[in-house]
Amino acid sequence: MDRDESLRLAALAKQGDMAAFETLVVAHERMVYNVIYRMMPNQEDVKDISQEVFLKAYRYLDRFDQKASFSTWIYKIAVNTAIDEMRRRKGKETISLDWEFEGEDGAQKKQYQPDGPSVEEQVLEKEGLQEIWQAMEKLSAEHRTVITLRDVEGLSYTEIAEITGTSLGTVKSRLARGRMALKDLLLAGRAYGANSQKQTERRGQRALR
Amino acid sequence: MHCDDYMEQMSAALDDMLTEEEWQALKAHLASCPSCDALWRQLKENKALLQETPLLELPAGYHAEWKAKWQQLLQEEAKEEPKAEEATKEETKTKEETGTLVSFPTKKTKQPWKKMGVAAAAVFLMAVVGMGGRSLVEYQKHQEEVTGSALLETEGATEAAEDTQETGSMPSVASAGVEAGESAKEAAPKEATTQAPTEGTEESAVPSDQQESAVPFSQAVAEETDALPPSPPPKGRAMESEVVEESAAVAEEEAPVEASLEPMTTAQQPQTIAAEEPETSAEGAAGAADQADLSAATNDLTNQPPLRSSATMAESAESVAVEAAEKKVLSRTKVTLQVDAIEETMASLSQLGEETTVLQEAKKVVVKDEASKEESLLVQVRALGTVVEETSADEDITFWYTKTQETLAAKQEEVAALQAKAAEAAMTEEETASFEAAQAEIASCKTSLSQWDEALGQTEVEVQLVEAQTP
Repeated sequence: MDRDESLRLAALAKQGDMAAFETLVVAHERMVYNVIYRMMPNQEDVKDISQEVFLKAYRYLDRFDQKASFSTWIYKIAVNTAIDEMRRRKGKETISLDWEFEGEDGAQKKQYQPDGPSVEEQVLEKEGLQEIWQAMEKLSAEHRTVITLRDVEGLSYTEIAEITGTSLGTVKSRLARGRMALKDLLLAGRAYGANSQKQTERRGQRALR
Repeated sequence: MHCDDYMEQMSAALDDMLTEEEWQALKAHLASCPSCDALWRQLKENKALLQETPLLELPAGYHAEWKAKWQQLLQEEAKEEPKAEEATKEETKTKEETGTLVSFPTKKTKQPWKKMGVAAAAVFLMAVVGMGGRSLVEYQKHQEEVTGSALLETEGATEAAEDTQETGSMPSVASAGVEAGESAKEAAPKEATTQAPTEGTEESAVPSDQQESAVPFSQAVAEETDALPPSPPPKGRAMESEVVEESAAVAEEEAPVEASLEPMTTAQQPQTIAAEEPETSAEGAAGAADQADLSAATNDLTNQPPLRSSATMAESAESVAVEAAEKKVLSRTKVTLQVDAIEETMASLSQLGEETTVLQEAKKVVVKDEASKEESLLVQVRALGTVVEETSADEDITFWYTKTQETLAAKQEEVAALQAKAAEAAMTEEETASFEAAQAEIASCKTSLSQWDEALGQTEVEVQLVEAQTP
């Protein structure tokens, strides 16, 4: 759906046209579901949260000023809803970058380790995609948001600034730091993988002796 | 520039956000720095991977489920709307009661102004009427003096009647009546406003056409004062006046007969009516004064026949006609005065309206000022909010950056440890090599063993052949 059409439908919806609003929902629901899924990985209630986004959009439809595109507006609601939800859950769940494992000498050692396949593996068939999304899960919410909006959704810096309610400079800075953090997490994950492989090999060699 | 300085440039370059100059500088650095070049390749690879992230399909029944939730929301809103309306009404009512939201100008604030304006107009009107009445009385007095002197000079009833017809005054005036009239004209207006009605009635009991001429003016003042908007003169009083006038007319008609027999009895009747008026309130005093004036008029009319007992019926008719003409003039004056009073009131009201408009404009200016002040405050608050948000965002970034750096340092330590272990593992590789060599030796031994076995087998066969050949 192009921008003009969505603005026309939004204007109708503001006047109480329910069918127009539902058309807008149908046009944007898959996009919103994916954004919430990428921002809140490992959550079972992605569906409920993404549906809540459209209920909020309906409640606050009169605040949509027709200047921005409807897509940007709905992105903004989706991002804010996801961030609010994550903040709300922050005290209940702890996301740790460290993982304890038993070393050779039997002592507990700390080592980065992904929590296992949380993103749909069947979707991420391409080599490296699963790995990168496992690393993405470990990023901070702010970094994950800007990288998702820029590299996955392909939004401009201006749109991201509008959605996140920040300046262009902040967007630029967050993207740079987020990408560096993602690279480090990937390297750490690979180092863990290599270490794990070597440990397996060594055990095999000892068994042969 | 250090390598760290190029990190943000690399990120921007991924999004084509660098200028040509910046891009050339970055390219030059990448060409000269292998680690940054490796980092650049890694970043490009990560972005390319993320761009290939496929879109997830919606779960089955997603839209239907959302629609059910939406319908529920609509129903809840429909239920809440009447409650909200009631609450709004209640709130508005409360605010109206407390007067917080009542717009300017209010009825309450208008009423005192109106009353004050009306009161001022009434006072002004009374002053004007008082002055006008006085001047008219003076004019009457002057006319009387002229007529009186003419009578004294000629002492002829016929001539006097002719003079009075010409001047328009009452034809039955005598010198004694002039004196009584003078005293009455001074007393009557005072009595009407301040003195007790009994005195007024006593004064008015003196037969005089001068007093009669003064009566309508005091009556007019009283009537106009009462008749000021919005309250009309009391009906009761009007009816009484009518009754008195009727009785006066009857008295006038019966005057030729009755006045000759019992002139004082008829004249006393209005006095009795006036004496019955209440004495306490100002209105009562004014009413009594009116009654006194009316009774004086009646008295005068009833007293005329004895004074004019020698006059003919024709003269009487003429005098009645003259009196009627004079009454017409007086009633016209009354109407003019009433019109003037109304105009005055209208003028004062329009002035009040203008003042109200000016005040409303002033109020609008004040309200505008307040609104602009409020708006500027809001802008400041928003700016502060943005600053706070930016600050918190920066703090957040710093926190996560520090945390990431700490994690990175820890990881680097672990990598170093792993590398050390890898070095240890290299020693194991040597062992592996010797092990493999040993295995190779074993294999060769096995091979030689099998060769030996074969050789041994052959030897055994040869031995058997030799044994067979040997006897």
